[in-house]
Amino acid sequence: MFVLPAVVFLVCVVLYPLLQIFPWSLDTWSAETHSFVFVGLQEFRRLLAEPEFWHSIKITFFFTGLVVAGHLVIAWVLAEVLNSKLWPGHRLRNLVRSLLLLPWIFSVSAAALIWGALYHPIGYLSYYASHLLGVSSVGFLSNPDLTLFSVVFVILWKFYPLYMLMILGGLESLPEEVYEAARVDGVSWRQSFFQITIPLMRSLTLTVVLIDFITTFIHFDLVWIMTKGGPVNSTYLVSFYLYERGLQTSSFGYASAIGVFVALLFGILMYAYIVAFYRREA
Amino acid sequence: MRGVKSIERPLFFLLVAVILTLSVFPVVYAFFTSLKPGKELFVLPPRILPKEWTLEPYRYVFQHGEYLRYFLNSVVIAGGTTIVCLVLASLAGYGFSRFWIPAKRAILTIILLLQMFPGVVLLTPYYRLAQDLHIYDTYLILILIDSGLVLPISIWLLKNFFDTVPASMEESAMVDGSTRLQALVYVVAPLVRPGLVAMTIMAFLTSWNEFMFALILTSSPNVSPVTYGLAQLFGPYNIQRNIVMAITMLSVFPLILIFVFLQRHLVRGIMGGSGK
Repeated sequence: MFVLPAVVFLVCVVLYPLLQIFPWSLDTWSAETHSFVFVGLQEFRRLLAEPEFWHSIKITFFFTGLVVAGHLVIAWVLAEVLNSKLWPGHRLRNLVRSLLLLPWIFSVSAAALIWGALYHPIGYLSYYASHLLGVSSVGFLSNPDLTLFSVVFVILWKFYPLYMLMILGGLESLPEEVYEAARVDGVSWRQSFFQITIPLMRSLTLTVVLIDFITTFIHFDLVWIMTKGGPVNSTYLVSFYLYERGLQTSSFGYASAIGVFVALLFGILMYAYIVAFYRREA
Repeated sequence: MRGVKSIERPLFFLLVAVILTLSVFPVVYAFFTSLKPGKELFVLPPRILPKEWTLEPYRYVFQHGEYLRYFLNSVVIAGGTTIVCLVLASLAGYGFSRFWIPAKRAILTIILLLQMFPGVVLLTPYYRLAQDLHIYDTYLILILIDSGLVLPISIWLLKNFFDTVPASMEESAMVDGSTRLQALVYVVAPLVRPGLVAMTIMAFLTSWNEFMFALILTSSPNVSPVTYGLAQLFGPYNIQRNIVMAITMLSVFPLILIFVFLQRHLVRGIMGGSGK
């Protein structure tokens, strides 16, 4: 009784719409009759034959790899710093932790505007970067070779707090005695990090990588506001392809086919993740 | 300090300072830029602090109704989402915690998977749905979608909190003649207040900051939230940067307030719980 409203709500608002993309992906949208027409796998064939689609997939993988690796490093370093024994007291540590969560509460639009101002051709970063490098202009968001890295940096800044908190939670729950015992046995910091911390944190780290990979692979909003995929398609993510070529042209069958493609990728990843977990449990 | 070399702590604090600068600098920069008069924006070399402090950019925002309208829209959407989630997730979290439900584990797993499912995949169905049901460009569609985004994790969070409250609490209230719903509202809910507060914050934060669905499913300033309004301001040839930063700071201000409020509340909740 109590769970019914929420379950019905989720089925109607999330599950049912989600499942619709599977039948729709076998259709094409007819603008004349305003309805779906069954065409089998035609939209998939069209999708897989499109070089622009593969370009966006390539960019997306590169983008995702950079972000996941960057988040992992940042999250680990910050979590280790917050978990350090060198803090004189909890008060200061908690203050720093709160400040480090700040990017988390900014909306993607707010983050895009702030970094847009910093990256602006006559903005703060551009001025000092161009002086430092001795060039007339850096073009953070106009140089096709640089823009992807510029937006990756913003993504790293905006989304690290969640991963930092996850890793920190893991570090704080590690058994203190094991480290004491290792220290008594004369094990160095480096050895204890690689021999104790890393193995104990493996499944949590895997979870962080999975969540980050999924959210970043289908990332849309922040990069969309900042670049719209440009310059010269150097930041054209697969979600932009879905939005522009599927939705904006009302090719709903095509858009659903892209959605199914992403959903299948998601399914494979989840499956691999679960298998990896169960193998360790067994 | 045992085991700490004298060199370690200064180096450590240097590291902390560098980290803090990197993460907080953009916010500080935005804040001070919003306090600059227009003529200071293009001064070279660029400065962080204003020479002349002014609230002019904020006054500009408050004098222009179109910006305020975006804020009103966000309040309606985020408020609606929070209420929907609070009601549905409290009931469901309580139900999942207390009752025998067929295939409970499977249902909970599916709910968790829904939380992790890539939102971009839902763009097409939601776009079609909004047009078929004639709710494109309304508060309703965004409240529904945002609730769908937050509800799964909210149910899980509250279920875990309800699990910590012994069933004898509401049973004794029900012996005294109150219904189960009354017992939930008056006896159990106060005991899980930290969970309810955390869930409320999460729902509000997510829906206040949601942008992608707002971009695709709204098109008029009468409905679009402030994230949508902000995104319209992005670009090199737009209105003056100090005004843009003032709107940005205003859009984050409620969240900063809530955030400060939340941390205190959470700590108090935990202390109260452990004192029993």
